[in-house]
Amino acid sequence: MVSIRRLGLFLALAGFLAGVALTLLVTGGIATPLSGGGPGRAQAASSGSASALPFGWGPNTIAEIATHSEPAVVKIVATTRTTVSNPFFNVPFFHQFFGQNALPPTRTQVQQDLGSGIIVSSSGYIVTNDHVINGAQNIAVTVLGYAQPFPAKVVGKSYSLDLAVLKISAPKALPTLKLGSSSAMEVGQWVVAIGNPYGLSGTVTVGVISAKGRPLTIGNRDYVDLLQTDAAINPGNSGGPLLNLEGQVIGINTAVNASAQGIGFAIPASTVKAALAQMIKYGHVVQPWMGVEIGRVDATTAAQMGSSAGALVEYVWPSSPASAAGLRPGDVILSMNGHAMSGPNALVRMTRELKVGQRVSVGLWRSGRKLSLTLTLGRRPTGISQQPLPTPQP
Amino acid sequence: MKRLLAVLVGLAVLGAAAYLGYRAIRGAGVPPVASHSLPPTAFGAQSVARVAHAALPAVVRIDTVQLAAGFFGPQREAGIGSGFFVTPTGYIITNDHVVQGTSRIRVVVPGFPGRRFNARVVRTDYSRDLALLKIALPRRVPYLRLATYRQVHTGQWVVAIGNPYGLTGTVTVGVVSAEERPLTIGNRRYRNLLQTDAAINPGNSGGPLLNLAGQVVGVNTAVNAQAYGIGFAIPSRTVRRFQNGLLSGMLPGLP
Repeated sequence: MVSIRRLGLFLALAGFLAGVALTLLVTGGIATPLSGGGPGRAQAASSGSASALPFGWGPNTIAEIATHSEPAVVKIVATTRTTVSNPFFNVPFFHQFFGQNALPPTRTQVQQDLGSGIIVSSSGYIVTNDHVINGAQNIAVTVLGYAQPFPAKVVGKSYSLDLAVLKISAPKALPTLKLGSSSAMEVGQWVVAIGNPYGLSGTVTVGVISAKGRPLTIGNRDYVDLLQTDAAINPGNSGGPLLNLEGQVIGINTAVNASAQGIGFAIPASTVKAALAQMIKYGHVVQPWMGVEIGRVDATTAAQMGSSAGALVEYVWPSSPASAAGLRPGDVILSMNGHAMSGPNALVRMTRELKVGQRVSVGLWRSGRKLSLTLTLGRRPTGISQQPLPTPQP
Repeated sequence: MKRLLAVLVGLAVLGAAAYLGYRAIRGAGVPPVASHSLPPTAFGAQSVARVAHAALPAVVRIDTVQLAAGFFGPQREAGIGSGFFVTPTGYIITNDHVVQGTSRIRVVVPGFPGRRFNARVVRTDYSRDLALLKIALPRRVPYLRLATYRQVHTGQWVVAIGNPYGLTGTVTVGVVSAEERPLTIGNRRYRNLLQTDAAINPGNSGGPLLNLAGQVVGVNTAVNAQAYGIGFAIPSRTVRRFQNGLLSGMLPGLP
């Protein structure tokens, strides 16, 4: 896995106050989650015409997709208890003032996060965002039709992909949603989001795919290949499905630009598909790793190279596949296995699609020369977290 | 972490509140991303996707540098806007407020990855808030046609394309909410804007608002920052008046 320096996508605007342009993960940090009485469900009307779309295309298409999909969308309440030590406990002055027992050494903070999830197997496997359940001691999953929430255990997760798989045990087979093809989605195609924004269970919103392949950095997480949508996404939508007109999951709603209108992001189904089996089998996702930190090609290098395409190597991890193959800081990676790449994100995307142990040929530009190296992808060490450094665009 | 988020949200709300009222939607920030009129068709599952596919290659990103008075002397401020080709030879329509007072205008064109073209300002119109730019292109490019006045109706589907917050080539959808809206932003008095609920954000300024035939019904210009889904576009007939005499004769099929 490679780290990349990001493009400063959400730079504060000229004339804007800092803090306006904020992108947030869309977990709702609410104290008391609302109970699951969803809004009145739209009545499905039969689709009259025979169409390639299973739900047809007409005034009731979205309603039918909603009715069909909502039972497989769950509400997740993740409870995190943290013990906070009291900074004044050891200060005698305060004991004098308030008495010996007034200041306990520690106190417990209870945080409840609300998110959404998708049932992907009738036996109770649920896909959601890692950031919905990360660090939680207690996860409760509410399924439509069941009065009581189910306790869930975390089967597997990936911090960097922001995905997690939960398991619940229901008395009977659960309704499921199918993962569709996110790569087949075109910009402008209609999508339906379902989730629990601000605890409003079973909220259905509609929009189109605004763009594909968006990179985004939130905190320490580097997303490289998000779908962008103008369907309304809000805190609490995290982990819920973005559906195509066939009612298939093409994305997992994950983030929103809080200051903007209609700029939401979803992890594409292709990423989920690749990670799901690994999360269930191993509990984590084994990610291939080159061992380079990369960024955009800087102006000086671009002038020498005559192009700004490719990924500039900024750092090579010692004892990494890249270091063994002889990559050096200052090299520009232009292609991998013969596929040219436009920028650093393309390299991250390509690497994620490969396997640990796979031999890859890397096309390089090094101080005016072009050369090719072969390296064997390793497994990303768990100690290395991605630490992107946001760099403003000149 | 969550508390930090809450604080940040609070800051964002405060920031937005401090920036009351309407704002022009020129953005600043960064980033990457191809024709003609489509035959008018019935509304279908693919309608928006067809418009997006046809019009995206004709929508550009406009990066500007402005020298602004700062506490420690002049400061460079980067801005981002949108624009679209109205000829295959590199004439671009955008908002005047995207390029006004800038010292450098560079244009990112779909299909020319990694390149930025220096733009020349051909004409600006402060009161109409429109500008015509020209870039020198090595080959002909797809361009957009303007819809006629009669082709615009309240309630009809429209597609906005632009670069909100630097998110190049963002496609959003909505309807024409109203026509003939008057609006004053700073010194500018707009008289007859189209109102739309298609998501419009800073950086969308100068980009096209299209009908489902892929024709330009408006130039996205302003947004009510406090509201949700209240954006404004300069109608195509104003654009036509602005460019009249400049482009006629230059282009077959363009009025």
